[in-house]
Amino acid sequence: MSKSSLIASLNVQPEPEKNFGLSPDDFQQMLEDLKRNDTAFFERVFLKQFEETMRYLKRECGSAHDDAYDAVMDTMLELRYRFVEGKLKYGNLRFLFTQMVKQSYFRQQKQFSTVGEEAIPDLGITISKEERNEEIALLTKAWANLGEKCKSLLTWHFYGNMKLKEIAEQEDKTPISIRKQKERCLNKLKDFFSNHLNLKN
Amino acid sequence: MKRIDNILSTDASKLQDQLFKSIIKDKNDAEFRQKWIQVLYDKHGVSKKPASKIKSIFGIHMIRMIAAAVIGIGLFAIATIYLTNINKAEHLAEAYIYEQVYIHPGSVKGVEDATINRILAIKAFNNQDYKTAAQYFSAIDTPTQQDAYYNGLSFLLNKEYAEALTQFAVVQEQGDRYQQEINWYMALTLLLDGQNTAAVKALQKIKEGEWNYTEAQKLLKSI
Repeated sequence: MSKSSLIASLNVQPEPEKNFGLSPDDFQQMLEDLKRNDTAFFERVFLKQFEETMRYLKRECGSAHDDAYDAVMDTMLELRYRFVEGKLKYGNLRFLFTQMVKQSYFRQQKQFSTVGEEAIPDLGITISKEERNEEIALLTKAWANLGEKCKSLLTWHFYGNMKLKEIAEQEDKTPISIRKQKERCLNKLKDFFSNHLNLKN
Repeated sequence: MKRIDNILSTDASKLQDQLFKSIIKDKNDAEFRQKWIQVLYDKHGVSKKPASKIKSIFGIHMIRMIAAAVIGIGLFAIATIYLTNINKAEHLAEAYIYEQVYIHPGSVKGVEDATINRILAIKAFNNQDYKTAAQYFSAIDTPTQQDAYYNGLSFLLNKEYAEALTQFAVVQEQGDRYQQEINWYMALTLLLDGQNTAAVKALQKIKEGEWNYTEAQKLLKSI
């Protein structure tokens, strides 16, 4: 057997069973959907695994029911994030998912035993749960004042990790007009924050 | 509000984008969490509540059903439907309670008598330690209407329903500032306390256009 055919024979195509029944094309479609904040496909695949994964965590780590529920929920959110950030590839999602759930559970247990603030690694700052909730509440109020176009644009860009160029192509607009639109939308949010904080002071 | 303060104070667009990204992620994650709690319960029968607790409620229902069977097959069928719906309404009420993020905004502007008990109560409430929060709120010498309201919420979130109802009644007596909130939380508390007739009356008080009218209608249908 030649060296190349030996390599080819070892390069086994990952089975859909290892990927919750997803084919590589399904996987790609799910990623595209998630970038546009369409989670229907993602939910169909992963919410179906929720209870089974909870059972796995209870069996493997002896976790309580509610802790297992929280760990799997946190992992679903983390998984969505890693997908849109392009950090996960088609391979063995089932194994990866269970490993992430275990990590999430141990992280959660560690947090329970320590009091204090949670780090936001990308920003190099720490924040308390209380402060995080206050910020979410204020953003939710500010968000309600945005038009639908702003909401979609900011969600696709910041939550779906879509580049402005991709959004421009999708919306059939120029990247410059999308960039300007993004600035206008962010200014609306900043104005709201500013007014709110001035009133508070 | 570190991230929002930084958004307002920086001119660096890259940092500003990172800050917006972080906070928008938190908001959307919180929304998906709420949505998935509901979908998991509705479509997959999975909830945060341990199965043993669900089974124990079901056990009580079974005993009631057997008693109903003694009276007659017709009554048995009616009781089955009735009790199944109670269970559904209870779960829906729990889902409504636990899907929300509760934040005490701090003392009302202008109120200067920030007693130590109030400070500790607010701190415990915002740390989701509702048992401790209720203890401190109850220890405030001259509680305001806001104190009574958050005391009631603390009792509710700690599953002390009788005490929650007492506090909500106190809030009602002190004026209608929290009326819409009280109508909603009182109805949920009554439902979880098994007082379904009173819960129905409380839910019917929530009029169209008021807070959680749609959810109240859903609950009424499920009872």
